[in-house]
Amino acid sequence: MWIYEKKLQYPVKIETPNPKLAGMIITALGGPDGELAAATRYLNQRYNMPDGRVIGILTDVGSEELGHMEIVASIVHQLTRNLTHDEIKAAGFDKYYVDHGVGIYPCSAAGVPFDAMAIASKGDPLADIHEDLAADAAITQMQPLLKNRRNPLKYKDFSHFGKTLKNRHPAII
Amino acid sequence: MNNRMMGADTPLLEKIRALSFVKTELELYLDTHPDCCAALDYYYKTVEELKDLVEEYEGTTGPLTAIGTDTTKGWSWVNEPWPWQMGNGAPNNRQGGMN
Repeated sequence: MWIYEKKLQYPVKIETPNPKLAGMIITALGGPDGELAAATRYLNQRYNMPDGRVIGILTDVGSEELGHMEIVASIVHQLTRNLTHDEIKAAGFDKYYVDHGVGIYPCSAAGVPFDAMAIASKGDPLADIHEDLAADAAITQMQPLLKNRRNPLKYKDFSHFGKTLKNRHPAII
Repeated sequence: MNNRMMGADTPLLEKIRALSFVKTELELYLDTHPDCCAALDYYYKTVEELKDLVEEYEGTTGPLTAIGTDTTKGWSWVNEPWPWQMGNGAPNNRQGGMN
């Protein structure tokens, strides 16, 4: 059972919209290594874990991922505010826009809708924990790619958020 | 093992479950009827009663949320049973079906 808290885990206050960046960051929500995949894997892997402590960390990390989904969605939302059609076209955001408007749709940067094929849940504790490690490695690969892009967004906040993402997983093993 | 696993699913938890459901339904009603005094009053009473029951459960059985963990007795948050391990006394097949 879950309880919603009316706050972001980390605040999102983006001053300058940037649809090009939004089209990249959406993958952190619904892409193969995104937060939806993370939450889905952890919360569904819990049931066959052999130890209450492992179940506990998967429960708590998985719940936290739901909060991360909300942070990423807030970033994408704020990056796509008050856009003109010309800005949308110039930024290459038109393909996303024609399908979803400025709605938050869990998909990859390439526009592929979220697919549970991106995760594994095998009922085998070792297989699942190794899959969690592989997922973590994939995330650390994604973050610098997003951060190194040249753009007018002030990265301070986003990079801090990236660090919390990067640092959370070691606790799982 | 079975006694321990069934230990957490007590009549008190059943009361909490029922009252939580009332709370949830009232929230849904109030979301679209935020000025309904009768519902507001009912919600207040439900939440007050629920708080007492949760306090009693966490004092006698174990935490319902991580924040309800009595840390003077260690991190009991991770103690089994987890919700899907309660009831029927069926032991968890810890190694998975194939092993």
